[in-house]
Amino acid sequence: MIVNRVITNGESVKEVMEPRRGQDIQTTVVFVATGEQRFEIDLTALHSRINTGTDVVVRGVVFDQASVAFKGLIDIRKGAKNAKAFLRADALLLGDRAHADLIPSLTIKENDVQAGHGATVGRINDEHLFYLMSRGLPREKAVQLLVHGFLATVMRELPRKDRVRVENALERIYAQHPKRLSHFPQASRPRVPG
Amino acid sequence: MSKVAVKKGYQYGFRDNLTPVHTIKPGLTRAVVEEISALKNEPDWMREKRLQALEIFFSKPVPTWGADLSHLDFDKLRYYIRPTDRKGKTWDEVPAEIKRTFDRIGVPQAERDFLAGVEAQYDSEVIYGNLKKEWEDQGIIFCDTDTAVKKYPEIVKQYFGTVVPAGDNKFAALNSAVWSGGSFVYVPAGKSVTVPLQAYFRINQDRFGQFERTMIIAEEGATVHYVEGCTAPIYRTDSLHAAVVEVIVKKGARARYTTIQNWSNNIYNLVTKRAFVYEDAVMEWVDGNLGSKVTMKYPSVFLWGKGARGDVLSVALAGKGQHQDAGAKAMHLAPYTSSTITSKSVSHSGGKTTYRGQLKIIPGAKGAKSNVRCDALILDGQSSSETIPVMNIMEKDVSIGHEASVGRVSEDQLFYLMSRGINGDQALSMIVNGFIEPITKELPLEYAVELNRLIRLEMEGSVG
Repeated sequence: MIVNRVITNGESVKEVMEPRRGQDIQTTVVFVATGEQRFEIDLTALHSRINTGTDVVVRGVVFDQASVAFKGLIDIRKGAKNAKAFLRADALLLGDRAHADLIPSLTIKENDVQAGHGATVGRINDEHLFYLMSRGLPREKAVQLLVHGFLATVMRELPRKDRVRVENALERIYAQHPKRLSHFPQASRPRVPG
Repeated sequence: MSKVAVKKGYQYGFRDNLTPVHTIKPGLTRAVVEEISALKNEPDWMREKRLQALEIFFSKPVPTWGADLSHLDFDKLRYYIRPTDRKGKTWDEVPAEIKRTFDRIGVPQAERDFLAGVEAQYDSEVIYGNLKKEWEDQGIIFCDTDTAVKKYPEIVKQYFGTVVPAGDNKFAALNSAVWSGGSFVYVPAGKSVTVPLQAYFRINQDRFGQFERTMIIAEEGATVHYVEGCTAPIYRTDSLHAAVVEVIVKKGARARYTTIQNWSNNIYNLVTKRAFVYEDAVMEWVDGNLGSKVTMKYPSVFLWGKGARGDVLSVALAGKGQHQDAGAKAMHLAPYTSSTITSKSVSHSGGKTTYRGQLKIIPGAKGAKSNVRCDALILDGQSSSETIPVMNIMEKDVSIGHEASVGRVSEDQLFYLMSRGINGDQALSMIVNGFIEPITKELPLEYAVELNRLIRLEMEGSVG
């Protein structure tokens, strides 16, 4: 079973995935937050039967002063033998006052399982940006390409109409403020050695 | 752990400024706190701090967001016991299980007596004496916190309660009201302590107090490594251990705090540990939780200065009836700060482990980096595990990674080892020891060896 969600308008998503015996559920959520939008995404993968699987991928971009609050719970009940549950959440922060709260959590009451989650929050990689700009791309265009690249692997999983929605949302953002991305990132500063 | 001889009869009379044997009645009131303060001959400012903290303690509810604390009865606890009063148990009264563990991990008899509470403490005067002189020459202070209040009141007054204020949480308030013992370490600017300071080097104090208050201050450019606890089980009849540890790491300094906790399985271990880390300073927490009934402990790093770094390494082992609710907190409050949190937990025989973490990056903490990795191993169908990391990221120019996994020991790994002629128990303990290796390799050698033995012991009979 496949569940897809695309959020571009600030609506909140609350979803519980409970696979039937022997069932696998794949969930993909893509979000694009802009302006003062605040997104709430609350996903639960509930495993109560044997031989179940869930795979949740959440990925999105946060512009301006928008924010995203993500909760992702993998809940494996006792007796849900041979459960496989994975969750991945990645957010790219582009706005100067963009912010992200992430709570990926696991509650595991069965030992015959494989479960895990991963989460990242970050900015556009300076070196990637530099590379594209050194090839003659203007900064805005380079940033747009990198955003596209960040979302590409997940977008592949979406049906065409959802892909179009994400692309349209991004186009609108770029069109509204063509210079919105030109300040990003600021001149590079010395890095403190790790 | 080194073999140290116990001098019999020494445990009495080494305190000079305490009134004769005195036990305070169970229960907590203003009078009890005043009595503790009076018994210790404390200055007024400390008594005031205690009384203020007591009010905060009364006003705060018992936290319900974590482990189950509903069985704690504050009226039945004793809040101050003179260390010498603990003496009087005999070796025969020590539970058989604890004795068995001593045997198996190879603790010398002298240490066993002490750890089981039969001896008040051991005499490590010989080693300690030489080191003490070396430290004094450098201006390094290492004593128990009670002594520090008397001998170095300015330093204590300046820092006490600044990192963990009494109002931080109910148990920090309790500790601030009734604290006793704990270590006080002060390292002057540019000095470094070459050997790890170990709690058992300190003499003339109660070593495993219920409400220890530990303070470590590393001035600019100083280096210090402090070690407390041990892998052998500490048998105590008191049911609550609520310590507070405050660490201040100033510009360019480096501090490491290693704890191995193995309280007996009747103890609630509720500890607040926090470090303030300033510009370009480094703080490292190495934390092992093996014993106790319930542990709630989240070593924290507050990165106040540019380029400050905080690392937390944590290992937890929960067996029958145990809940290890441990984790870490990293607060990025300045640019270019970094933190790394590594947590490994193992639950077996119905035990429960929780990783509870918080990562906060405030606006303006540009270039902050954080990596969190928490892995849990569940060895049987009765045991469980939870992972609850909270991340608040309020700055875009950051790089944050979090990774968690939960699973069991794979049949393939077991099969491989067993096919090489290793029996099931041994194979399992090898795998578990491998799983926690990132932490054990950071421990002092003798602790690592004992930890490995302890895991082998715990794993016995786990594989059919």
